[in-house]
Amino acid sequence: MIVLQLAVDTVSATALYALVALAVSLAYSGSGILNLAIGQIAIAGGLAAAAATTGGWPLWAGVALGVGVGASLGAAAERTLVKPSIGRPVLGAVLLIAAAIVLREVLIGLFPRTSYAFPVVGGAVRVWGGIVHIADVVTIASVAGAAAAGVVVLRTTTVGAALRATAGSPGAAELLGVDTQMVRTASFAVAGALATGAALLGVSHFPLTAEGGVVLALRGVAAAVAGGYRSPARVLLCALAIAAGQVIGGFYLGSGGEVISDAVAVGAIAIGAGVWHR
Amino acid sequence: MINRVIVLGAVCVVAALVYPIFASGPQLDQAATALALAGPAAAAALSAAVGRPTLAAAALAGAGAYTSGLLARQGVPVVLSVLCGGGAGATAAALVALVCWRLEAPAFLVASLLAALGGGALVQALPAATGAEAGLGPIPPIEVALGTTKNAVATPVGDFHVLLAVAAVVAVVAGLGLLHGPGPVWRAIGSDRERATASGIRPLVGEIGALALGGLMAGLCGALAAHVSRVASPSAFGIDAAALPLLAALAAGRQPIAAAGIAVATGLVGQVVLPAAGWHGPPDAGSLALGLLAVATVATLLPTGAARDDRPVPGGPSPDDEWPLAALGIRGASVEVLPITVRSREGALLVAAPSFSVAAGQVLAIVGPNGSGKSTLLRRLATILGRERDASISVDGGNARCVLMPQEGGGFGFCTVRETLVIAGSHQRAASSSGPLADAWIDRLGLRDVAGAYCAELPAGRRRLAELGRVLLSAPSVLLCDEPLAGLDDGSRAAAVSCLRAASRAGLTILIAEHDREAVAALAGSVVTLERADLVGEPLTSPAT
Repeated sequence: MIVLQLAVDTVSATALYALVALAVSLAYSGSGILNLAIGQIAIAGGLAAAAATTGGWPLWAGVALGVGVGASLGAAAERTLVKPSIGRPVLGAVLLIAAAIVLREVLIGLFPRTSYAFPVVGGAVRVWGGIVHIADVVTIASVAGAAAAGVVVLRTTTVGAALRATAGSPGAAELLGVDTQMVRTASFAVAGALATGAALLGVSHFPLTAEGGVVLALRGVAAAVAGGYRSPARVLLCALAIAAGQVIGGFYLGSGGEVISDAVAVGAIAIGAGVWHR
Repeated sequence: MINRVIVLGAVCVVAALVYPIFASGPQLDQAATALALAGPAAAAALSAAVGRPTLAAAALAGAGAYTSGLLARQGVPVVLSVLCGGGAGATAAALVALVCWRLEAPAFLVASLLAALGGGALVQALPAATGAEAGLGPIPPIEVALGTTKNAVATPVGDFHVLLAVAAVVAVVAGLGLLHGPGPVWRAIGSDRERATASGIRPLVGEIGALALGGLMAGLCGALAAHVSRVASPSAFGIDAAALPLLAALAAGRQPIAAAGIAVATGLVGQVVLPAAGWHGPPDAGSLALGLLAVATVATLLPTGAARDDRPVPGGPSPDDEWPLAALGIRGASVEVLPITVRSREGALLVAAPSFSVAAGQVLAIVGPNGSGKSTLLRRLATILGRERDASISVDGGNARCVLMPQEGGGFGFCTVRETLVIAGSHQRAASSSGPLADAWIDRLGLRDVAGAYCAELPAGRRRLAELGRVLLSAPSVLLCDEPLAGLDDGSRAAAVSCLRAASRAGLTILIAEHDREAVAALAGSVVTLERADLVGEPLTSPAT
């Protein structure tokens, strides 16, 4: 039952891209700048977690370290590159890409192996003649949980209200007493943590390698852009389209599937922006 | 500081002229790679200037390299192959501009990067034709015809200097393209798409033109570099190659020549200088050079911004002299608006305006507290009058032209004051008459001393005067002004009121949202009062008072 397997793979990849898209949207809401370094930040956190667990740390401690590294790098990127770029979204995005490239090269020096192991929930179950990996189910459930928690935080807490106020109008938010600088930094930190979570959950899909940040991030960024940042349903739909293009294209075309996936991502952005943004 | 960076780039380029005499083959190839960055950097500067910042500039050079390499290996003459490479870059760039024409700048950025990575995936997917990871090669070298009987195969040094010459020409052509011909129009589009459209410019045509020229520049440089190094490399489609040209373009203030110089200098530092100095990373030399450029950009460019000097300007406009309105050929139109509401996407009521009408040549003021939706109403009216034409608004005369003077900024930020007024005056007017008309208005508005300055660099008050000139020269029948007097000193304010009153007397219909009660009293024949929509609910149907 290859169809079932492809479907589960697609949903699992969708969940990962959606989680990255959530992180990108969060950072964008606070700053108006696309965090194009998010993939490399996630990989840095993931590699830190992998190194810790390989070195004998308990799983929870490794995850905490990785998430902490991701959050710290996100906050540092905001303080050094995003803060001076406020109001210049293109410059901010390009500076973040440059930072990601430098970070990647540093990571290659620190983690020279082609990939690093991180414990995943093992096992598989047979469903209707097909094989469903437990790790995929865990991924989907984790992302759904993170998304639900995000919605609750945004809609019911003071922190969420501050973020929404900053996203709507930073000037008005400051008049209301919101520390928009702190909101921006926090949004980038949380985004880094979420993306690290995506990197760790996606170990079975994307090898944990210093060079793997771009692929992980860019399709998530594409889903966020195409969905218009603030509409979870649209972001999810675009993530699904991109993931389907990648999984199905990859199954039938091998490496040619990457072209399909990128084309779908561009198409999703073009259509999404055309239909929804204006 | 920018000038110093440009000088540094020039020094590096001159050094490159001498460098081949001492360098070996592989070192020349690395230097050629750096030189070839001139094309993508010029392309990135052009694209950024037109408001379509692209991360695919290096990929366009890659497209040129592969196209030229493939053709040359099939026996097509190298010169023709290189030209086809340039054509491939131009076509690909135009295609990206066309597919992504509705995207805002950040979304376009992401889409262009995805397109570049997709090109790389395509190269990998066709290994038989492209050589996959190893690249396409060997590619025939450049041959220079010396006469009817013999051809001279250029030496690597000769090839290198051909590339250097082409890189310089490419940068200069792109720079001139942005300064002359359609350049000001492209920069107007990049400054403000809405204002450009209101001035009669077609943004899509300009965007495709600018990106195609940039793609041609990038494709030519990429193709030539491939013939110098004898290989077309897939690294052109990677993210590393994507970032440098655009970062250089932004660091150079979107000036193609400076961008090319900065990109080549950065490339030479990463490809030649740091390796020669023994730097082996991490990070590797190329990434370190990119990082240094990013740090320099943050350190030098970000503190700058539009000046905010609103002190009275000596020699400012006088309220008493005549305004050169006769040459504008104003033909006003009467407007009748039924009760109108504007809602947010979530359905919240933003504006609830009563019905009102304004006769041709009259001024109607829209007043109300903050949050009552004056600006939103004006924008809605501008949209309806400009494009949609629905039953809620009627305008006499089928060719009535509505122009909005927005609340923020003024003129086209990346154009000079004179370019802004010439572009505005070119709409519905012969190009030959728009120059003198613009000059007359520059003198009358007291902007002669800043006529050659970019609007983005002007103090807020003078920028508003330039905006007033822009909207009037756009030949409106109905002018919608959103706080036109904000930021003006007393003298300029009196002059602006005098100008609007004179325009009204000449027949122009004006709807104005303004807080200044004195100005409203001096200008407006009728007033519509808006209350906050969330307090009053659905609109009233009472006429204007």
